[in-house]
Amino acid sequence: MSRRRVVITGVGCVTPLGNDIQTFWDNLLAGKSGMQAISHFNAKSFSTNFAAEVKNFKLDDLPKDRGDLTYALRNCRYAVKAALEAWRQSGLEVCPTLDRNHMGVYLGAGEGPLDFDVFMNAIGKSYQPDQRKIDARIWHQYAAAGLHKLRELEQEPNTVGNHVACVLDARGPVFNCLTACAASTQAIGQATEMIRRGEAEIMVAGGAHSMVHLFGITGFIRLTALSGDNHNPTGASRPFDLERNGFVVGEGAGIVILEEFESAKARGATILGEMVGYGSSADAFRITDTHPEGRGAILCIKMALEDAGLKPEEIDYISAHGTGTQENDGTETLAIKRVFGEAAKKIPMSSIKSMTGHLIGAAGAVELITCILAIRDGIIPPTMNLHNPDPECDLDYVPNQARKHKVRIALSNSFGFGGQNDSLIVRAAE
Amino acid sequence: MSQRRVVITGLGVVSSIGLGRQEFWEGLCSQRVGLRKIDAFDMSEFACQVGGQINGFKLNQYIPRSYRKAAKLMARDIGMAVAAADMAVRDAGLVTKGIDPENPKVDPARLGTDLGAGLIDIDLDELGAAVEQSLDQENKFSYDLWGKRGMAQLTPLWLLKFLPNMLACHIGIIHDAQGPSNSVLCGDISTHQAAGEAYHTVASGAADVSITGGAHCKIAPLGILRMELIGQLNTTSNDRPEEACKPFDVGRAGCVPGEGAGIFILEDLQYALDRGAKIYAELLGSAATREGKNPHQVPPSVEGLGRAIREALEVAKVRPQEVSLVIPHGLGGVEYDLAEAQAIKLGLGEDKGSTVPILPIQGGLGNCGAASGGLDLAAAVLAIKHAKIPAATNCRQPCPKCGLNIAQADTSTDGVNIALLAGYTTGGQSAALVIKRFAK
Repeated sequence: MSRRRVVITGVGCVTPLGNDIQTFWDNLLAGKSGMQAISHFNAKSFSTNFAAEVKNFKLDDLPKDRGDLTYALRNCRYAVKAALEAWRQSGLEVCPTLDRNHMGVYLGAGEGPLDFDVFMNAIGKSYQPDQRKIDARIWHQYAAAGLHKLRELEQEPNTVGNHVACVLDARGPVFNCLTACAASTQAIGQATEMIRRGEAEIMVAGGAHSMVHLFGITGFIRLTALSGDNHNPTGASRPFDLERNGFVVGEGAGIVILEEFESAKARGATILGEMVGYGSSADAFRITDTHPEGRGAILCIKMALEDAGLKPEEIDYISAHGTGTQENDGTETLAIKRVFGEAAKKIPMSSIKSMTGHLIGAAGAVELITCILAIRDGIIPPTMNLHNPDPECDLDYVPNQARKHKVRIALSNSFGFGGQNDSLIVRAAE
Repeated sequence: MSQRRVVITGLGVVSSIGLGRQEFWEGLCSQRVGLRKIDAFDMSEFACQVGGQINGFKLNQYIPRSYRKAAKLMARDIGMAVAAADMAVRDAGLVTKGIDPENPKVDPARLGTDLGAGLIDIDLDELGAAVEQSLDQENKFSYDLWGKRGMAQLTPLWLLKFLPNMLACHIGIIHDAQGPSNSVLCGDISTHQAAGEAYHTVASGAADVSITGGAHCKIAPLGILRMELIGQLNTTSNDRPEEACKPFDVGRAGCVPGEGAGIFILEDLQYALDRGAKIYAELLGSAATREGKNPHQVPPSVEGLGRAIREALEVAKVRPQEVSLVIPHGLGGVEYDLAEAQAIKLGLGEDKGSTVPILPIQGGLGNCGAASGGLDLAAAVLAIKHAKIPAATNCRQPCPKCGLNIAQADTSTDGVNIALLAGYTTGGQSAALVIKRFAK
């Protein structure tokens, strides 16, 4: 028996390059950069003081009486906006036969930022240097007086999915996974599987994340994972360049509407693409480093190809994980060469993180959407800031300029902290 | 498309009523209460000072010698998961790299992980030293000083201590699990959902074995304060910790925080038979739903949880009449338990719902958050193994309004054939999972 096919009928995004699909895509193809000095908090003295933030964000045009967003945090607001855009494009908003019990949500949403002003001051007031401990009594006084119960609840990652489900009135399964930088790729893969298995007819899938917050930036600085090019934010993310020196933290959301093919066709939906392959693996190597030979990445891409029943050379475009760290880009290149052999050098592979920064949990969803748009328009976005080729990175990274290129099948890779790997393959509608 | 059958062949438990499956089961059977005055830090300003705090848990013995260095990067959630995974792998007789580094007998690419996890509480004492360096002249936290000297106090790998996917990552590294890996963060149903997903990973053939389950530590200042703010906690039993959580009892007055881990080895039936593994139970399926216009919804939606139960039974091809045991979420809140009782009756039908034995376990453990489903599943698996339903802890006077048949000492049983797990989150999500005594 052939398995159920899963298609994409809507896409939506909020990114450092624009808060809707068209703006994002135009800016991506124009090679624009989303980086600038951090505005969400005072990071002036930080060794990395810039990021790729979402700009001029407004959440409006919400359906009435579908959940209180008063205390919803950035990641959640981004998710709701992106979900509404995708939903409206899908035409499901006006579909009279919608079965809401079989419509679910699967996100790779990250944590909402802590209420740092209260949280850090409560620690400051209660820390006892002589004992190297906080006094929990004093901490409680300040924290209990300052923290708001819903503001706290909103930090739970599953709250994002619950908001999206409320706004769209989805009553099927609502899941959230948090597998670091691979989360939304994984969420879309798992959501695809749920439709294939018949657990749902429609899934709202993707991710939303902002680690442009005190602990996010601090944590990555301490890991020495970030570019410290404070003098040149727009040129700081240089995937596959010899002079690359770390990634740039971004934020945003990407949401796709997935539907079972036959019912999407029956209702006359515009089909943007078909999900044909999904792979997931773990490096199982070290929590700090990826496997030097790309073991997990290779396994995961092979699983996705096998799932899709495709040969490597049938891939027309690869959306790279391409973070711009020394380690990732070299290993990723190696993994691609291992899987694709001779074909590797002929398949264009670009990293939009050169422009958007690294959206962490949301990165994979926005990159899959990039693949869908590349299929739609026959044009692929560039890897910007690639001026000094690295002899170790010798593939076609579409340097510095978008390129017309017919794309029928695209692969999107995400490789997360801790060695989490996820790959998706999307094909043009047939 | 033919599905492979999926069986449970190993389990590991870290809980406040016992370490390891044997102690945990004895704890359940003797109504042991793991609730005590929390002494991990000074609780005297907290409204609820009682919790299921685990004492005497020593992580190192569960980590292979060559990997012990990493223990200092493991927040308590991670450590409990690693320990319970070690127990589960050994219990299943699975020879992974963690058991025999020289001669493992599992194909790493066919060994997956799918863990339920919560947000990991950041160590406040460790942060304190960094914040101290960042206070301005008015003794207020300064971002400027944090950037100049505060953050440098933190260990370089600080972030990795509390990334929630680190439970799965450390387990994966120790046991060389390179197959499909996921970490589900969905509040108290995280592990229900993770186990449901792991089932499909094995049933579909994407892996032969999956290490699943969950771990969560809610015994931490911020975690407890959040429960306090939302009004879930019992604040009236600080002087009687052993009675602080009474699910479905007439005297219930809220929940208390807990901590723990329940980890399982799920594997393809044929794979298990081929290697001669003992089989505890068969996992039949799961379902998840969401209901309600309020994204912060408490207590659970009766309709949503009822539907999750119905759908899980449908997927499992089990009639409500066949269910021999229900492990509910049983938080111990007045409205929560009432709504859950109504949902159980909606899902199973009024007659079956009010007569099937119900075993809530939070009365002894407190609320273990994302690990709830893992501890529930351990209780269900052990009830099947021992063909026995222990009396519920701290429910001596079942609430007539709830109208459930809460397991008591004299609850009779002809063994346990099919067990149903039910769970829900703050926010309107529900999940249910069905397991069955194994028969070829």
